[in-house]
Amino acid sequence: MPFMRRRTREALAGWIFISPALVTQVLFIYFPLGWSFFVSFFRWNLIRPMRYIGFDNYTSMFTSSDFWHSLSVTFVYVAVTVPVSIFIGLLLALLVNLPWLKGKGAFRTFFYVPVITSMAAAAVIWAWIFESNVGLLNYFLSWFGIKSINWLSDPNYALVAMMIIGIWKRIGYNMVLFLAGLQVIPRTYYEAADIDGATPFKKFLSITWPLLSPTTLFVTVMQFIASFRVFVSVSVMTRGGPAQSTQVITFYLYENAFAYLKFGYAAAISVFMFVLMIIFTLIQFRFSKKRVHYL
Amino acid sequence: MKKAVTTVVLLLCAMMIFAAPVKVIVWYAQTGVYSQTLLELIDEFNKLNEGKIVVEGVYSGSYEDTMQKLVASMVAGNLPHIAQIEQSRIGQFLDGDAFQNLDEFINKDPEFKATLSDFFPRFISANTFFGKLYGFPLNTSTPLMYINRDVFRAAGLDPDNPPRTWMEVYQASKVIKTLGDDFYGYRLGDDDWILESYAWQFGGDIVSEDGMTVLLDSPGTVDAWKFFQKGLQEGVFVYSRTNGNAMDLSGKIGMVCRSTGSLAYLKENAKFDLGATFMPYQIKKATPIGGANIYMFKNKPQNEKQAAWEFMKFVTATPNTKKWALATGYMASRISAYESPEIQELFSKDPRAEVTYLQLQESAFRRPYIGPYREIFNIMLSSWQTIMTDMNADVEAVLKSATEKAQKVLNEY
Amino acid sequence: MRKIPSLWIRVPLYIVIITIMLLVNLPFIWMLVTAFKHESEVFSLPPRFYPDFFDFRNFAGAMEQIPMGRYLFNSLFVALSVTLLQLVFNSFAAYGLSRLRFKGRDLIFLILVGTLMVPPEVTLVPLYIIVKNLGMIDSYRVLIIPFMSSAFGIFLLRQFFLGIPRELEEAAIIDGAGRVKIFFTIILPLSKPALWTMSLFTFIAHWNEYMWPLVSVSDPKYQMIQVGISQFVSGWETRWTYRMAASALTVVPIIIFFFFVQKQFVEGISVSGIKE
Repeated sequence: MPFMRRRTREALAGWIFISPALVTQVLFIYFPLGWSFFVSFFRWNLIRPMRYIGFDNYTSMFTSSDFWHSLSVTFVYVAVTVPVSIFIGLLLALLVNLPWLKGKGAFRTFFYVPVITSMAAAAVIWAWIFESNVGLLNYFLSWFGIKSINWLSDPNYALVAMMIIGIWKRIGYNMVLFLAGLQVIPRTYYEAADIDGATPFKKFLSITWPLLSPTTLFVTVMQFIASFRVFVSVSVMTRGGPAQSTQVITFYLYENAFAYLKFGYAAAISVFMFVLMIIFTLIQFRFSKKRVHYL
Repeated sequence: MKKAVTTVVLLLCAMMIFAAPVKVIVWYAQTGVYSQTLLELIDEFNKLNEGKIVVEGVYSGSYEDTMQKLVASMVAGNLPHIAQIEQSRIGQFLDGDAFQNLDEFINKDPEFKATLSDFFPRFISANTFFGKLYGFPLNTSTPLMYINRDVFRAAGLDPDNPPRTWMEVYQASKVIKTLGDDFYGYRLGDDDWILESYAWQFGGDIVSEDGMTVLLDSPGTVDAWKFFQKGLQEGVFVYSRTNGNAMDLSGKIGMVCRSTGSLAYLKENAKFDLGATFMPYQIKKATPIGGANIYMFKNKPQNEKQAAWEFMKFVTATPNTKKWALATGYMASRISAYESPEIQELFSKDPRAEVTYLQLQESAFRRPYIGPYREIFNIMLSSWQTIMTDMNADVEAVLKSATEKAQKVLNEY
Repeated sequence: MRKIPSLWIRVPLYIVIITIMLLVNLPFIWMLVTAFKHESEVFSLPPRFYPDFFDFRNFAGAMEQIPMGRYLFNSLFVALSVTLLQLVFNSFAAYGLSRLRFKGRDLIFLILVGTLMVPPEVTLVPLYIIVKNLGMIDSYRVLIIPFMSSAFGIFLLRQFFLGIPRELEEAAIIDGAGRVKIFFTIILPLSKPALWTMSLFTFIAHWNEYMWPLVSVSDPKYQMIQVGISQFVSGWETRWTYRMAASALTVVPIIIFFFFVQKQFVEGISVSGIKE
């Protein structure tokens, strides 16, 4: 049965190829996650002895208004930043992909600068830019007669400011991935459309967008995860405030763990987040199965 | 032959064990001139104790990041011997009995014990919990009120006679406001210890003395918040939570309360005549002792703790706390250092530097430190931000619901 | 050849692109400008886009206060090591998950991609416990070994490998080539550019690492640059100019590097393509 043997050999090779990565991921991520799952059934500040409390952490999580508030702030953040940063990323990719454009390399590089800059440093600079009295943004807005906005001190604007930073940080990343996807689409498709006299917009709708869908899926999944996990900008600039208006779920988790030392409770939040993100990602894959087109 | 070799090897090993100096790890949470000074002191200590003790200083991140490093190493059994921890973050370590009671060392050390009264008594009482001394002051400070003397003069106010009460601050602010729409009398912010002061100074409190009751809705606290909200409504105060430096240096702010540790920074960068005075009060003269102390961890071998104790004594000894104070602008912890000619000379050159010492002796108290305090404070902060940003928010109602929420946290702790 | 659009279309588009570019780079420009300013100029109003004089002392000052050279070397060493290890382990795993068929493959893929969903704040403490028990605290190992593979890299490479035509492989198998040989002689050369992309993303992520080195490393011998930079912010006195100078030192080399390699990986992706 040479066929069987080949399959066995293939399976064996497969396991050998994946095992180093599998081992490290299990050891350094699933073990810690398992630890969190275990700890989520305890009351523990890492200092005093741990105490088993069953599902209490979960019940207090689900009955906590702060928890639901953080979750809703996160959803709002995700709902805005995911589509906008994908849209702008795609737009930039289309722009710097124009065949007649000079200086492509420089444009690509400069659009990529935010990705390179560490978020901790960037957040400090953004805090200045958003500063209400001496900040750059209000200074520019004043040219257009817009009254100064308390970006980081006003609960109505602080989350908007966070979104601007989140989008700013990711568009270059998405642009690079979209650029890659654009290179795959064969020129001949466009040439055929040119003969038919199609407008650029029509060409985008009927050729580019459908053929880009595998990339779009990858970008969407990665962007969703990044948005859901937003942390550094909030922790450096707003600390969840003012009046909890930027308290995203990761920051809520962080504060419970490292400021309040409620490790059991924080672990329960992390287990919940993990499950929620897995579900969302599976939905995205399922949904895209029908929509993604291949060459 | 073989036996001889074994004996020699064993002997060598034994010598190495006895000869090896005891290693003491010290975590510090500050940088720049602060860490430089501390590291210089560590070097000096190591030279003095060559062959016996080696102290190793390790940067542990900001006060907040230090907590992450601390709890991670705590649960993994990898704690340092000494750590610099911010005043309001020690509650759970105390409750968990993680710190070394320093009285054990003091009682065995009559020479040192005799000098204990040389510490400013308020620092010792601030570090005494349940009747036991747990920490030593390192970088301690109190908040001062800084004033822009140029703005005062321009508004026709007397900069040499600055406001002493909050009511006077309000009245002066009204005058300063007449200088222009972008001028403000007093700048408000989010700093924890400043918010605590406001409540105290209006006769209110945050948590009761026994740590069992949240007092955010006490009349004094409500009055304080109403007072500041009114100032904001009238535009004579301004609230900036993110970048105080930018506003304070802009030259358009009349008064602001900040740490005495900021004096050097403000002096260097302010382009106006800078004054410093006592933090105002209304009902009660009360200011918090801020900054951080050093604590020793209990769970270490006795010989290492003894070595760590030697270092704690060294850092707080008169010449060294003097050196620290002169270099960093933080407070010297000993009276003898305060009275030393070098520090007195500094005061005669710049009287602003002395204000904090007078304030300490007159009105400084320990900040809230109970286990769940950070969570209670965050509830308070969130309400404060509501008051500061929503001019129609009802102070009483906001504080009432904050109290309920914080009390629940306290009860569950 | 497609024709070049008229000037009326090109000029406005250039303006749009350049405007967006300037806006996006505003924080970066501001960082550079501040790095050359005097501390007391930092908060001047109206904001000034050029310093009074170009003051290189901030760079010298920043270098003086922390062992910048050592930290930069450590970051470079750690980020490069992680990147090289990930190149090997991620591409192995991606190959196994995309080109070999075996039972449980999709489940393994899900398990690996699932690690993307775990925020680093969650794993900090337990990871510390693990590395402590492995005796890795205070070494380069603690900064490198836990990150030998990554879900992101595996996911990205798998998508690329899926796009490589199967026929190439089948032909090699008929010629009697083994899996390892196919992987090294066919798959890897074809996806060189994809590997570039992953390497760059990985390198940047570890170059900018802050929390983990702070927590897991106490010996300054092994400390990384972002922890070094954070030391310009402290309590009451933040040296903005030093901090920005130091940050600029960490960003500019990568920008220059990116400029030279960007062509590599944009085109590279085009060879293999992305598929689910």
